[in-house]
Amino acid sequence: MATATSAIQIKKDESSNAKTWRRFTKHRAAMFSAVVLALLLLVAIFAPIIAPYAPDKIDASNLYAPSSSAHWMGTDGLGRDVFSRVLHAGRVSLLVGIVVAVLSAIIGVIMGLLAGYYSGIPWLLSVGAGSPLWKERQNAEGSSFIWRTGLRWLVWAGLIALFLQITGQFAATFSGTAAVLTWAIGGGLAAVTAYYAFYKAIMIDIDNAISRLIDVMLSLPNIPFLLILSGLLANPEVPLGKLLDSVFGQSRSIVLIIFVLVLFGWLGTARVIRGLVLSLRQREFTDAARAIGSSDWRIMLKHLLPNAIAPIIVQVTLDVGNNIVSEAALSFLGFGIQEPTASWGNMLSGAQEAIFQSPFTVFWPGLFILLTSLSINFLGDGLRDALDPRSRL
Amino acid sequence: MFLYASRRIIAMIPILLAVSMAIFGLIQLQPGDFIDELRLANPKMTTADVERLRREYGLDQPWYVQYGKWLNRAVRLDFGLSRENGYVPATEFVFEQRLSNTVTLSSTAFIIALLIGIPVGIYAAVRQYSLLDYVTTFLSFVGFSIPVFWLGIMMLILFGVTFKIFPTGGMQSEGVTQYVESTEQFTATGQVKKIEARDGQTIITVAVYDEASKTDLPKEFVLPANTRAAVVVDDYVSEGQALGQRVTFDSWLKWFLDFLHHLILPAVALSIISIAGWTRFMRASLLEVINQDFVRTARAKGLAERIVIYKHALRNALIPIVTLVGLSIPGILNGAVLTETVFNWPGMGTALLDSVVKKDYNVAMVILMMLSIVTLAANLLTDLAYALVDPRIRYN
Repeated sequence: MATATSAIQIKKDESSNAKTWRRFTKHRAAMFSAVVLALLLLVAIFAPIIAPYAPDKIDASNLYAPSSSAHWMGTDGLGRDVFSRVLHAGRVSLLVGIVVAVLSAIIGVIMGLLAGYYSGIPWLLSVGAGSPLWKERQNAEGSSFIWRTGLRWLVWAGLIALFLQITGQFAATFSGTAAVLTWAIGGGLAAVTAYYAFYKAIMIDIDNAISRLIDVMLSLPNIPFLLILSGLLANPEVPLGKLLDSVFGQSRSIVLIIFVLVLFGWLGTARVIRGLVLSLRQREFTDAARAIGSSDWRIMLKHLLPNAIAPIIVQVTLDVGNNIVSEAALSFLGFGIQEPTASWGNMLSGAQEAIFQSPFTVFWPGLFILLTSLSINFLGDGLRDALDPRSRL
Repeated sequence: MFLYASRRIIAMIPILLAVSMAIFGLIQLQPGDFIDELRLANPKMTTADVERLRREYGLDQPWYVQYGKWLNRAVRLDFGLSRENGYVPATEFVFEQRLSNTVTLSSTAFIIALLIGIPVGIYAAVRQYSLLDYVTTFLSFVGFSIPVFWLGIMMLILFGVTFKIFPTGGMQSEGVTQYVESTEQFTATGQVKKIEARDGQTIITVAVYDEASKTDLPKEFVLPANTRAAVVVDDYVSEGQALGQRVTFDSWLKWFLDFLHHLILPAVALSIISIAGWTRFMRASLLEVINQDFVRTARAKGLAERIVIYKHALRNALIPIVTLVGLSIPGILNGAVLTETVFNWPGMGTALLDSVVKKDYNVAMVILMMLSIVTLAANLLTDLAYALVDPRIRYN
């Protein structure tokens, strides 16, 4: 019986997952890279077990020692074992790379979904009795209309008050006509805002706002900007710096660099997702979901997002590599992970002095950065071929 | 098109305002200001003095008020002085002392990248799936992945320390200048009062103290032809000091070769990433053209493969590359911070890093604003160039 059914069973179509897997395994460089990455991850995770010495154990009698059986990669300028430090640094660098990529992807996806889905559908920020929208919103929002309108007005009143206060501080620094002019401009702007907020309506196209924000952030030169930002937040006298200090203590520089890199990390993903969502929302399945009464969030998360998952996976993978290199660059310049915590980047930061003493001290950390970032790039390439066979560079 | 361009330029103004406000705000949030440093330097200052100075410089105001004042001066191109560089105006420091060094380094790297990347990309496309194609693909992945500063350090170690072929940093060897001093010398000691051109000659007037009359007497020195004064007004000169300096071919050549010697390592290090990029672009662009019908037609009518590739395919494949090359030129100003730091190159990147480390923020503001303007202008040029190249794109 069993043999009979198996004999007449028609060979099923390969599932799409199996196809993807087959395409991925054909990309030999990506397969090899995946193995290398898995090894690197394992080594990083088990660093405390593998490392022969503590990463911050200083040995002043043994500075810049060459490779030997005791110190496989030699020692650095403080006599610390480079091999142990490279292993421990891998934990920090990989952790930063992965966490930044995931957080950037989450923010990027949310921003991209909002921008793409609500493109051309302005959000109402305030409405007054003089606007034709007044009646419309009254009907749409029903009994909640009164407190909703009150809340909107309250927020706008607060904003206008703040703006007037700033105008006052501005005007106080001038005298004569300049002060009068400042009051005239500030007051005029406040009056116009008040007119629209309380009598007419204020609408905002969220797509426009997010896209312009991305434009502005992309036009900031990012390495210099990150330098200033991390310099600022690393200062323990700044309130935010104080907070970071009290919560994270020693590892604050890790949290800091994650924050700083995420700030610029989400832009690419947001753009890609926005473009995809703009085309996906025209498709029939979106109309169908809306017709059966799905909420906007449900459509975005259950219908649009799964269709955009392939580019997100590729983007996150490639981002991990870019983040590791960016972290290394900032740490190298002295603005990233701070001593005594080791990262592949800050192990290179004393490099210019070390090159005369012991070149190999700076060779190893860089080699690990290269190895990781190269593997990730190959893996990303393989994933792109496998998940999204139509796109090719 | 013109309307579109002017609208975009006007739209840049709010973006630049937002960018400058963000950077200025970040800088102002830093605790401490230069009054603190004055106070450290001069313990006699009282708290009242400090308060008064703060008020005079407007440092007691909130950051947005200070921003307003900064903006008021910035629109008149007054970006303040650079505290760490002899109190010259920050704009002068950046544009006259640093900009050209960065441009030289980056444009050399750019040209190296094109000269290597484009031919390799063509070769990889023509011999698709050959061993060489695989090798260049692998190498371009390495190029994308390698941290540029580590590559720079490795090159320094290999060529600077181990083999000693190239210097280990800087832009010029000690004591090498393009000038030679003139043989004519000052024959008196005193202060330079004026340097003027008269009857086709340059005359340096020095106030020489006269024992007999107990006053300063003017004494004139005539600069020889083709010579530049080696002193400026208010300098004190002494007997035996050279009057002027001139550029001879020998001295210039020596200076130039020394400069090239310093330039090669950083330029090559900086070009590696772009070589990888240009190779990939060129390869992709040519492959796309090679698979088109008109190339098949050219082959079908019996043309030699050489002519098919280089005359028919390559010319079409180069169009997007030429656009990209044109658009990458403004990018030359951007992003050499790491390479300049590794090679101790006195460009804008090192200036920026120093100004952040030493809290000399006027310089940082000048550089960041310039970079933002260049980036925005480049974006606009990109869009306009696409419209020029591709007739399907219309702006109105």
